[in-house]
Amino acid sequence: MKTNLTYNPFSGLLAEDINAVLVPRFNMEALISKIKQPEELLTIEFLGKQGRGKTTHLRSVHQQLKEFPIVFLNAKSSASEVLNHTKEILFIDSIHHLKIKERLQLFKQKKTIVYTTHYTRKWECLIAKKKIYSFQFNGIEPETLQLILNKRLLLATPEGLECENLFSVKDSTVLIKKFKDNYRAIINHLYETYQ
Amino acid sequence: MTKTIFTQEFIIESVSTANVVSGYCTILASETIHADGITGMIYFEARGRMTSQKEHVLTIELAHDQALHKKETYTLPFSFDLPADSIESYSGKNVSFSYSCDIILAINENDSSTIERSAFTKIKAVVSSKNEIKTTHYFNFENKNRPYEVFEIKEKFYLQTNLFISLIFILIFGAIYSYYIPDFNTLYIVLGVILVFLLVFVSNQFIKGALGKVSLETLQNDDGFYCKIYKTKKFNLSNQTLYYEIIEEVTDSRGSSTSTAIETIFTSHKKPLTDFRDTSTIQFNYPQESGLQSVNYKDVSIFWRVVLEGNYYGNKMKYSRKFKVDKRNPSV
Repeated sequence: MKTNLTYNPFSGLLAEDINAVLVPRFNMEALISKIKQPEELLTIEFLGKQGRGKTTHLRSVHQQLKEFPIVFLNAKSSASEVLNHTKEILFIDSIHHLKIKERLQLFKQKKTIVYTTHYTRKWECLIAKKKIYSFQFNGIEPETLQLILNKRLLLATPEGLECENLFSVKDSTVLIKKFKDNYRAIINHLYETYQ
Repeated sequence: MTKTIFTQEFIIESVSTANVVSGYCTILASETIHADGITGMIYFEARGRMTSQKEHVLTIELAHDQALHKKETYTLPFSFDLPADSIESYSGKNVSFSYSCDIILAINENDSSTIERSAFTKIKAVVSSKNEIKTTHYFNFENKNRPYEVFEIKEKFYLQTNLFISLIFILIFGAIYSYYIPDFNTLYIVLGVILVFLLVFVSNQFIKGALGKVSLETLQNDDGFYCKIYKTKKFNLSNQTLYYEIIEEVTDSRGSSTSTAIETIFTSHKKPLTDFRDTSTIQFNYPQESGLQSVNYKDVSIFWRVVLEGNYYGNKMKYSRKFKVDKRNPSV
């Protein structure tokens, strides 16, 4: 690891650090107020391929609404993990691990669901009579990537020290050329460089 | 009004066999100020190519009702006892374990307006509404005074899948496929993959049956540990060697897919098994490096395994068995 850093800046983020490095893709304030005071039954989906920042955005929004549960689903998860929650608002990562019948039940049962998905669930929301807001996660600008990478570097820099070797737009352009918009692949590549 | 600027250091001096960590914290204020309390919050952090974790370990009180006079350095000694099962600091290929200490300075309400909010540290100091200033210091916890200690086990070895045999079956399948079915056909490909898996499994079972059982017993020794190998008469490999390795396994479950990174972080010398009839005993030394004991924490596993290697009709066969190594308990 680089000697002037307290830890590898490209390791997985702690929940408490997410908001310090996130460059939001949308107006977070507006979204949070929409979740808090829904005019109608709604679902909010973060849509995109893996490694594009959906889960990070979900965790970030949840950081500001901690009173509501967040569930990280995987292949071994059961539907009861989400259906048994009594709260009206629920955050779900990887909703595709639920069967379509379970998703429909969930959409009908809860007032607001914020979830990540690879494919849009608009038809299911239509059946469940839920309004859907979909946020696409694709593409990344060199300036945005530069900002994210430098925020991570600054966070791992010991107190009182200047952060050396900040990323330039040229650096982030090279990374995007190599890894396209796969943000996690970029971070994993840099993790190896800094470890 | 002149604003108060702080300078601070957090130094670990020693770690005793009983996990007692001692050191001191220095603090210097540019103006006289009164602190209601100075507290240290110790955290364990696991960061890597995975969902990173941070856990509160303990809280220490460094000072209470402390007047910090202008440009006077205060040295605040501390000593705390980390839990016996604390994981040592470690920097591996895909994960690092470390400890951090948040120093929280609770400023007296009457002095809170005199604090320079940006100069304590450029990035991370936080002045909360409770008149508290927080800074974070990282430190390593390495207990070099406690040697490794193997857990004594007696278990059978497992035969690892032979890559050469797998490759042979894949090549045979590839040749038959390209000869009889030159076009791409998903169904046949899937059936072929299942067949290859089945053949590899059957051949493994056949070799296991032909060679018979082989077991490992680990025994403690002062400077290292013994591996005692038991075998049946029909177990007969040529050029048998024995060694152990330490493996780091990190599961990355971030986002919607899961992947596991496996890295060998240490491999011992390979020792030949000569005159191996029913049993053979080999002594191994522990690695010089500290902090490599067995760990099982959330998505991270560091484990040790003994590998028995040898040739069977020209094929290199590998048998392995996991075992546990910890640090010796100070009370023993």
